[in-house]
Amino acid sequence: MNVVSIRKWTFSLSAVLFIASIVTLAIPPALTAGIDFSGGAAFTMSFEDVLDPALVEKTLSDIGHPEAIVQPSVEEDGTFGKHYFIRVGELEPTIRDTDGNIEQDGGREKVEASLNALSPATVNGFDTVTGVIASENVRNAAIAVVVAALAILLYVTWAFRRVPSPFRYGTAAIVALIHDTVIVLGLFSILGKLFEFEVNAMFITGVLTVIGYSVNDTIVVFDRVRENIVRFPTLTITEIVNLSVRETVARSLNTSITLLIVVVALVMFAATSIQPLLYVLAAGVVVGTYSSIFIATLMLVVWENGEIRNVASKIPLIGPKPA
Amino acid sequence: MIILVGGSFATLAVKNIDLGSFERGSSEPLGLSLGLDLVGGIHLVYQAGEEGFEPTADQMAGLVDNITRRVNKLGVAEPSIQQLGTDRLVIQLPGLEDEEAAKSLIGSTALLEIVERICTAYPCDETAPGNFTDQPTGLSGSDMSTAFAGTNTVTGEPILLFELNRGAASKFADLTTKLFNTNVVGGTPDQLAFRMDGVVLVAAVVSSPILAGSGQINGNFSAEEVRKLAIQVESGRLPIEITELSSAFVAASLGADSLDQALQAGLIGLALVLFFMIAYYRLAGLVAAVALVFYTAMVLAVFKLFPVTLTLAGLAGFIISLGMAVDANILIFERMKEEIRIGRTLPFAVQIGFNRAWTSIRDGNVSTLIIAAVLFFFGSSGANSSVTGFAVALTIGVLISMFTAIVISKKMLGLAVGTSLGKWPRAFSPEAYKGGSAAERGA
Repeated sequence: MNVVSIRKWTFSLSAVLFIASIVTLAIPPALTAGIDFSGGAAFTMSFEDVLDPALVEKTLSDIGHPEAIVQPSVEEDGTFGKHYFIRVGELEPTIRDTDGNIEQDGGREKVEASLNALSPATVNGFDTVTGVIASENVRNAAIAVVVAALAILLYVTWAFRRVPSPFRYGTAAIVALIHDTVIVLGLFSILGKLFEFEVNAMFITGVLTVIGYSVNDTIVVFDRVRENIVRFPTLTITEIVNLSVRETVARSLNTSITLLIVVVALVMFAATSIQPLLYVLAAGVVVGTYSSIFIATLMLVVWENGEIRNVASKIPLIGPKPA
Repeated sequence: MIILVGGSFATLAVKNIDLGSFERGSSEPLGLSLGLDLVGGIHLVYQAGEEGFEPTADQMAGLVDNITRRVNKLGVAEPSIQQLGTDRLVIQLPGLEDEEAAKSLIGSTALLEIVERICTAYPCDETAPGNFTDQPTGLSGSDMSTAFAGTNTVTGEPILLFELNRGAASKFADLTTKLFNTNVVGGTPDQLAFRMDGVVLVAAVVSSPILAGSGQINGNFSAEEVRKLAIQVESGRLPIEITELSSAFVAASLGADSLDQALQAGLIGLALVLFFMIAYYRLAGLVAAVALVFYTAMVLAVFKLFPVTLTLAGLAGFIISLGMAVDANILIFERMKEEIRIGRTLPFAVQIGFNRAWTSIRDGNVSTLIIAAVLFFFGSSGANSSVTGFAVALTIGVLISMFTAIVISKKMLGLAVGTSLGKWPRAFSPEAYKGGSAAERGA
């Protein structure tokens, strides 16, 4: 297995994905904000019969509100199912004529009608609500990621101080981190634009998890490079990297597979509200495993061989010739 | 090791722990504290201002901001605070304990005023309202840069300590000097009083001018009251008065079945992982499986004792740390297999496997801890603190995973190698014979 020889392909692939991600993120809306960020409408509803919350959730999902947050109020005796506090995303306005009569049903009427069909219900209050998450939080999370990247750079540089040019390891690790974060965000930006995939509060958690995984995975391969450089001082960096990747690939794949097993199990069995988180994790595991081998580790080779300067000029020249 | 693992299981087995001042536990599964998204909580609706009053968007934003700060300082994990319509707020807090405490913290306007009490006769206190007049000084809680709960070093009574902003400090110095100068023998000295929402907390004669801009309020408080007071002063007063419209309990915001489903899915996932580990790494995989069960018990026990309120974000942090615990085991076993393959004896391969894998486990985990620390620091200043919950769970999980991989797995593998199973490297690695039979002979 000679991973170093395919570096042009992997760098090109990543460059394309990275640029595509930046482009889609640059076109507003960068991500399609869900109810947690943008708010929507809130109302309380009292049904005549006791209803299963899952049924209410499904009914709303069927009429185009998968984002609905359905909370039954708990009665004094601990039972619930008659009174609900429900939040949904933004609703289409109701069109009324000059006398105030409804000309065309809006989102509110559709929601009320669908729920009334389950059991006769009375609606108490239909209000707008703001998002739970202030933009300040998103900004904080973004700052945190930048600070974390710098801290990782310092730590990895320190941890690899015994090998030549430790700074490269730190840089390569955060390049992979940024690569993973941007591509995952880009993917969900596209999903949002094409399929109205909404991001919720869990999405932030998912992205943070991807970052943690990305660095951890990269360091395992780097650790082996560090060990092999000391053990085989006569080998070139290309040989060292090929050897190290070969030695760690079983572990990398096993870890990714184990994580994917858990994620897939959750996707199949768990509720809709955590699905966005799971998709982010799945995408992150795949991208993170890929980048630790094909981006971070191969960057060490490219840097050592002085190819970095030429990378930009090489990209247009890639042909189907085996290296 | 046995004590730790046994202790963890015991902690989880008992729902409520009560050792004098140390009370932990709840009625939730395993006695863990669960968040709003997982079990529901109190649902409060507040009206801003009098009915008919129309607050501006800025006032409402200020209100949300202020209450968010109060709730966060109370240590409630991941509250949900939203503006409802134009003049109402809907607040959801996880858990059901301390409902009254939470309400009084949120609901009070928290206008702390520093007033000058001009005394004309004796006694100069509430028992004789005619003997004094209170005059505003223009100083209030918003002039305090910090406020925190402390105890009087002499009496041990809870007190509120505060520091004033630079500009207010000189005003306060002038005020206390002026009050001190009325403190002459035979006179009726004027007093310094602190008023919270119109109620006098304490009024006292100034025994020396306070020039440094810091002071304390000693008002026969309980420790809990002082803590609440400190939170309210620090987060400032509400821009508008609010009144409670309704209060109810709501079930989990994730939907009733989600928690069960998620747990079920998590268990299925875990079972698949354990199956995979055992199939691929044989006996070593079995050891890892046992270690992971111990790991899960220990993490949950720490969550309970801490206590950490588990929300979905926290669970995500836990799951990623579980992934890292699996990964640490995989790293060690892959290394062991390599060593067996090149012909090392089994006990030696185990030793080297652990030693060599340690550097990568250490560096990987330290990096993760750095990320968690940064996230905790930045996440804690925000409104919905799911980032903080994630960071806390991840930190605890990673620390314990290092311990289980290095201590528990190693000890158990060492024991397994010591028995007659140790003569059978195939039990540890399906590829044991590829590198020659030296391993078997050596063992």
